[in-house]
Amino acid sequence: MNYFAVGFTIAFAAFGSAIAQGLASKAALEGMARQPEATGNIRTTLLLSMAFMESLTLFSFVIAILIWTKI
Amino acid sequence: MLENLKQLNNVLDHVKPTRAFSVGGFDISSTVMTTWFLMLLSIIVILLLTRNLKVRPTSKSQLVLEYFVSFIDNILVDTGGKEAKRYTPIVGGFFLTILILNLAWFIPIFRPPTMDFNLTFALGIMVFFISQVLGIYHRGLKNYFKKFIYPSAILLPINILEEFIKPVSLALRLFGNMFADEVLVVIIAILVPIILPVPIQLLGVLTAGIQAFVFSLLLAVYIGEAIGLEE
Repeated sequence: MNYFAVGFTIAFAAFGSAIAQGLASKAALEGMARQPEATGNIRTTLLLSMAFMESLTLFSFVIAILIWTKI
Repeated sequence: MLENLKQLNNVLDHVKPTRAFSVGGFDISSTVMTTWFLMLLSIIVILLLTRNLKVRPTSKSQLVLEYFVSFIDNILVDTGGKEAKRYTPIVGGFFLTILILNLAWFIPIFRPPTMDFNLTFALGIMVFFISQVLGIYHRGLKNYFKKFIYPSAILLPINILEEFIKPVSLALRLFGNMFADEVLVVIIAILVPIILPVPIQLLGVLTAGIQAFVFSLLLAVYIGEAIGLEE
């Protein structure tokens, strides 16, 4: 039962943040295609916001490890 | 192959901090040892770099340092206005510390100490005190408490909770990123010990830089919020 919990924790978190990252990179690519001179700024902001979305998945990764080791 | 798969059961043993030595009943963990060593290293390097500074820089090292300082300055000016420029040493110190600790991979047998949540939570506690003390210093006690009931008094519990959640999420973000990277590298190294772990570890370099930047950016945002220039 614990293993199911671990799997689903990661699965749901990855589901959400994958959608979010897809939307963010879509918008960034559109912006870059429309205004190539703003590429540098957009890339920095994109990487930063990607890190924020990624961290939500990693929070649940930490929780999954905690469940797995039965703390 | 089956032997390798069995080893996966104790992945966590590879990423736990180990006991380096003990002094009179106190256990000194490998995290503390690594941090001390890197502190010594970075102090020596910075002292060597900052010798004989000139108004008109001629050496390359001074140019690098000035670029770094102006980089941190820009972050602070963007988030907190010109007044926030005074706190460049704090934010720059956090940035350099976290970057150096994250990159401890490049010294053999060393592991990044930021993988240990004790260290990241210590950093989080420091961020908490920095933002509270700066808030009291810049706004005065009355305005500082007024901030908690800012739109209306109903939001008081949420505002108080927010002050505690901010440093905790900072600490968890740093810990989670570094820990996940290391676990990934260990799992791949157990399954495919040749070649494949190298690109994954190179990805970890990117993560180290981004996490140091995110931490100091958020610290700058909190400092800008605490000194509150827009009101």
